Amino acid sequence: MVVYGDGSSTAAERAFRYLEVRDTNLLPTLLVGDHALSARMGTYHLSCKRECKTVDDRWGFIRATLRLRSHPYHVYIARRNGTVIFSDDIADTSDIQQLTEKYLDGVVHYADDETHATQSLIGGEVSSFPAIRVSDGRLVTIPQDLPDGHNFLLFTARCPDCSLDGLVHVSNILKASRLTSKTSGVIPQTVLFSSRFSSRELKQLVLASGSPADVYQATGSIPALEDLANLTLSAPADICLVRTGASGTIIGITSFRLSGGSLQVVQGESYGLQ
Amino acid sequence: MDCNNVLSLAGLACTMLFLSSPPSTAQTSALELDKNVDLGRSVVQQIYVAADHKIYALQPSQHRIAIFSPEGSVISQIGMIGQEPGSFYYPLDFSVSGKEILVLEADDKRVQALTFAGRSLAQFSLPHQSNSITASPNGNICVADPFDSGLVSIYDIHGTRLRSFGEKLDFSEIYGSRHKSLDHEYKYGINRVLITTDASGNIYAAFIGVPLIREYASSGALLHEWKYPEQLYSQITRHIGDTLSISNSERFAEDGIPIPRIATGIVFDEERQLLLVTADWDGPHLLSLDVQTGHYEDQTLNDPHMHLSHVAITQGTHELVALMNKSGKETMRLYLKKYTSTSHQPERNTR
Repeated sequence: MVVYGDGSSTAAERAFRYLEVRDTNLLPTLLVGDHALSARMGTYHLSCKRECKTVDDRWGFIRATLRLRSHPYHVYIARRNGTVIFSDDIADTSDIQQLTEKYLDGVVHYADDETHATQSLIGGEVSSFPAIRVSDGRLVTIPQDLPDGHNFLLFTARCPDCSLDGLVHVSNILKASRLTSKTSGVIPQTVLFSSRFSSRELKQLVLASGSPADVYQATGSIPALEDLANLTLSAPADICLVRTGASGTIIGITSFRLSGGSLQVVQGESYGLQ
Repeated sequence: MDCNNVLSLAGLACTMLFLSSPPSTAQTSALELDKNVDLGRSVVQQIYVAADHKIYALQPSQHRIAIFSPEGSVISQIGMIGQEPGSFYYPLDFSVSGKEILVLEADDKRVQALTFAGRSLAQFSLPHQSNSITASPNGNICVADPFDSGLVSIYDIHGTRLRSFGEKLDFSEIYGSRHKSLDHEYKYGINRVLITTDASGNIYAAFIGVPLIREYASSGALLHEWKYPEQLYSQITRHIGDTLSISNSERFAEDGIPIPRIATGIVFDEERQLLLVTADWDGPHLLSLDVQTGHYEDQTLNDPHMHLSHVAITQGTHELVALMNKSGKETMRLYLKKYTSTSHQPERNTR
């Protein structure tokens, strides 16, 4: 993907900030711009440890070659053989997200589908899956072996790199969970982490946090719920509060997003995590 | 396309009105809504409800036709972002013809024919930015194009332009001869129409910025012209003519002129031989026009903050489907109801 922007373009920067959370190894990414953009951004360091150089097109040769109109930015996607498959100057951040997902993953995740995905799981059952209790390494089956009425907080993430970053926030949440549970008692005592977290770092974190919660980590993918999370949750440390009835039927899912160190309800009813 | 701008124009003096017949009267009633389906937060630009009750919703910013279950869950989709065949980039309208779907992309000026599985069958480019498309029963494709010689242009599936028809209006003909100086500026914008067809191939055109509906034969001959019900017509023309301002307007990139966004949706109900047009003026209106008798019914929703953006008829059960959203809220909500109509005769202009 090539993003062409001039010195005043914030769209080009927004595009790259979106790419920051993606593994861009699959596709060469280039930021082409005029001298002002080049001077301002220089070599752009993506968080996934790749560098992306800004090409200085101060004389406009590349712009002319690409036949781009005079516009603050232009998104331009070409195959390795040079075939242009997309070119436009009105693509906004959401478009760039969709384009990136389409050409990297072949699947676009639509935020609007999240609501429906959450709703469609209500009334279904939590399928059994294995997990490890972090504190002692004991293998359990969830939800059968769960205490606390089968309610649990699910910490999940879309990509391993993002999950590792999210562990910092998870620590704060666990501490907040301990404080809240002392006063209101509404926080489930069971916390479940996606298998995508580093087991070693998770154990260190749980021990350091001194959380009163019973912390588990799935050994593999979590049926339905993690599919939901993959659809629903895009931030590094998003959280689902899953409430189940006595028979294991899901009666409520509340999605949370970390914002400034606190949790905000993304979808579903509030349940003591404000 | 840019919506919800404030139209503000400078006016002048001058000549005559061309519509000699007075506006029609109509029975008014409250639009009562039955069950509704939440279609989420993305703006839906056009809808189609299949006989199996699946809801096909065009979502321009998602660059797809999302297919919802009758309960409102996304179950699949047609297309995704892109410019290759089978992909869409800011699609603006679509129309279903038998086993094919026609999709109109305004900015890319492209028409695509696809299967319901999303496979591209054909595509061609339009010379201008269109805002409305409908499939003709004979296989041809009708697009609204005021930049052509008429209002509506007809293409075959290969993109060959067959003809253009529809006499154009001047701004001053509707909104007052004193605004003659605005005719040139508005010569394209005021002639933007929403179009649909019936099973006989007749083409119905509702002007977006004028309270007027026309019926054309497939040959392009004008069959009928109807003004909106009298009270509504008078309110609209008097207000815009006097103030040259309106809170709800629409702007297309081709000419960049904001036009009043009065008509918002159009569909022909074959079962009842009714032309249904949704309009925004002090709240949502559902205008039901019996094209055989000329009877008109104006159903209104007693909520000026509700926006009635499109209307459709469920295939098979012939339920009325109204797509709405609340001003300031993005959730699109689809209402379905068993439709009944009681109406009486309007004035009918045959030219």
